[in-house]
Amino acid sequence: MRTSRLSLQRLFAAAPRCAAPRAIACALLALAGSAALAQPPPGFQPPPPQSPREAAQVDITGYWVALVTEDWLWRMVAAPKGDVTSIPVNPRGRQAANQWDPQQDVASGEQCRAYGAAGLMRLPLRLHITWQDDSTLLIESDAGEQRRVLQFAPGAATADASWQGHSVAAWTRAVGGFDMRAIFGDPKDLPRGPLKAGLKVVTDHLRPGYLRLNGVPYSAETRLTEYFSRISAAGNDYLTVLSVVNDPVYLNGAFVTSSQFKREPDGARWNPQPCITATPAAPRGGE
Amino acid sequence: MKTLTLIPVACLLGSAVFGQVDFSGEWDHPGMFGHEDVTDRGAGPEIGDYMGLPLNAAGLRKAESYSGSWLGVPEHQCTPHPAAYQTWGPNTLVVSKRYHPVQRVVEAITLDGTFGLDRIVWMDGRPHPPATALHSFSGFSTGHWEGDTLVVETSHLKMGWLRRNGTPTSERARMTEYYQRFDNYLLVTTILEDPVYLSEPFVRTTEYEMNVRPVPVLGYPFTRNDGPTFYRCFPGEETTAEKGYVPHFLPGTNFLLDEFADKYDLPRWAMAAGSVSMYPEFARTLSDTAGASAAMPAPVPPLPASEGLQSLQVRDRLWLITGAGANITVQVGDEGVLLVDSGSAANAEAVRAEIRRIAGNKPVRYIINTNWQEAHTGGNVLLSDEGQRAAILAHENVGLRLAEAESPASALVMDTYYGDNKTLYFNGEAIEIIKVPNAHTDGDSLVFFRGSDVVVAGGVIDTASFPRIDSGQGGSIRGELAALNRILDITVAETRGQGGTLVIPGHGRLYDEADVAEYRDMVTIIRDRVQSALDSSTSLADLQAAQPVLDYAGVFGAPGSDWTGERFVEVVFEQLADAE
Repeated sequence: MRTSRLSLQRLFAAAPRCAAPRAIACALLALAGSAALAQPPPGFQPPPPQSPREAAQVDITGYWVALVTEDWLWRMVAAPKGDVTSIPVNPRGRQAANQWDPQQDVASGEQCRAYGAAGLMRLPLRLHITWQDDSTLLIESDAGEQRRVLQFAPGAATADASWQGHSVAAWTRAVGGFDMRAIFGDPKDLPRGPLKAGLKVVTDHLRPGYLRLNGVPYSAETRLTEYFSRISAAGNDYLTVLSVVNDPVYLNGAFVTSSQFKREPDGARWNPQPCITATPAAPRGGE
Repeated sequence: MKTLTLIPVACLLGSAVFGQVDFSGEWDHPGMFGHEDVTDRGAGPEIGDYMGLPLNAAGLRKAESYSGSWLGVPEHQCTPHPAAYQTWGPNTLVVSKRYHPVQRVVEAITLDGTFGLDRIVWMDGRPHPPATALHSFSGFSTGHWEGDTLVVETSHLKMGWLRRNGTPTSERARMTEYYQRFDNYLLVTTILEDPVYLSEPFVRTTEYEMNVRPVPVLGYPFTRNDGPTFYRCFPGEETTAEKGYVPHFLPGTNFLLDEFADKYDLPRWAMAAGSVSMYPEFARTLSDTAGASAAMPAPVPPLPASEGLQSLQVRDRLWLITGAGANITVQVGDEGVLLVDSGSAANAEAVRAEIRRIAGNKPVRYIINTNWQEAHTGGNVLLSDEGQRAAILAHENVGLRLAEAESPASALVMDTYYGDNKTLYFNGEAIEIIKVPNAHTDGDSLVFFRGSDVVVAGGVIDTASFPRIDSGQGGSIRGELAALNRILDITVAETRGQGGTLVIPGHGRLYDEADVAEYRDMVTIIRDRVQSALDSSTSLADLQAAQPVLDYAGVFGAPGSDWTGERFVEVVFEQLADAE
């Protein structure tokens, strides 16, 4: 007999809510339940382990379009060279930003420096997320035609760093595999739907790139941590991505942003474009 | 077995494990202002920075007419960040749980911050208040869990903003927030739906980091006992502008828009593109000489009609009855019942039953009529005959108009007044009846309950309609504005521009000073637009074609009403033209 998370929730939902401390109720229920549930029935076979795809409690696959409602003046258009507004760059990072040379990027075949993993999700673009296999998610972008490979079964990174680096993914969920509100919260607060897991992705092994179109740099020592989640609201599906960029070379501390995407029904608006090197904008008057 | 073993362990570790779905604690934006739009959230956005917002044409019109000097108007000086902006502003966030004193379950989650207002998220399943209830800048919020996500739904918002540059949100907006914790980060996704000013939902994500640094923050001492220093705000005399002055830009005159376009090398049309500016393909159109423009607002659905009469307790001894024609104010005390207005005759029996439900068998001793119209006086005959004949108080012109109309109410003896006011003391408080000349009609009165701190505005305010200025009955735009500013002379906000003195309008929901000020602003701005058209010899037809009420029709253009924004403009145009 396998004790499911849901049955535990129901068990505790039936626990008394009144004066007795919940911890005592928990212990009593656990002791009472253990006698009946401790022995697996004869012939019990544990279920085979689930693949990451089977274990997914949130489906983030599909076509998504960025909603650029924040940082518009730095994401939809290239800011002037040296404009590092909002980014916690250190003096070295500021110096590198001031030396941005898009023509040099073109000459050296590095037009995609603004399309690396640490900057990609902030660009105005569409994403297409699919399962490449049962343990690998693939994120493709139309802008820059990039491919991010998120591996649930971590393999060794290739020797060469790349724009999208080496990404290890894992589902996140409540500790213990069940919702602790079943014990500590009000039973009527029990989740209406299934527990929603998030997706945590850690990326390193990156080629040096740009956090923004105007050449604000990140280094090869950058480590990117992302949290993906999905929300259904107002008749739409939204994908949110919380990004934490740690770069000991160019940043004073973690650079934290969050981006939102809206689901599209299909790929009708998918518009692959090669990497484009931004044209330096004129200094913004009054700054 | 493994899972069962975890149970007592989990119980013992309670608080630590609960942290996975518990947001309690102190949170701060990374880098104080966050790492997105720092200039917006710090010093403030520039006038013209409307890109990336799904504003419709009405929202855009309101944004373009906004002047930063608006914040110097006394009634607006203490306006806090509204709920839709609170998590975006430069603030800390303190999340706490509030337990029911007896049941010991979480009944609410409080969200305190340096944004100036605390928010309470009720977790006990209570319904949202009726549509007639008071709105606030934080709104009324309830929460529930969806998995590990705290979902907060907020209604009853006041007029507010998306950015601090006048990009508006309306009182019809509803907000849904999703609070999610990832390691030591808190992600708040805000989705705002506003049928008045937005053509599609506005989505914003904000991130907090736990315990980045201890409060105080921004140099303002903050303790849970005395609240953020931002609370302490007292309006001052910041300008020498005459009373009632409302700063704004007339359509087409906001020179700051061109300055913004020049500064950022943007085509002027891009700032007015609305929702399309949120999407990636928009970036590729910026070199075009012309492009998309914000969508025209769709018709705003009416508020759900209440079924029959509804009562709302406004203060200890004051009630509001809606759904009987005009709003009826009921004061109940040891001496009996006093009514302000009596509703229409057709609803009088139902009103009498509702009064008995509220006041028992106490007799109606007074009826004060704020104007003569049937929706306000129709119940006089029936309701004044409750045990002993009630005295009927009104301005002299009310009696005259009732007689002219041969209303049944004209047969009743009235105690009319001729001067500026009339006072009485009843049920332990002073009540002042204040003449406001030639506003909605020529017989309008305000009624100020001094002890309860409530003003009844009568026909001067209809919260779902442009003011009904009845030219044929002596109403005027000049008198209407004077009446609104007279109300603002009386009201005192409790904190951050809201609460305090309450205002019961002739029709619609409960108001406070901030709401009356918005209403006054609306009337003033439209008056100014009409006057500007007259000054430039623009015809009424051309003025109407320019849609001078576009930015207010979604709130005040009651669907199906015979009193449209166009009719209001027409009356104002005629009156101002006659005055020249």
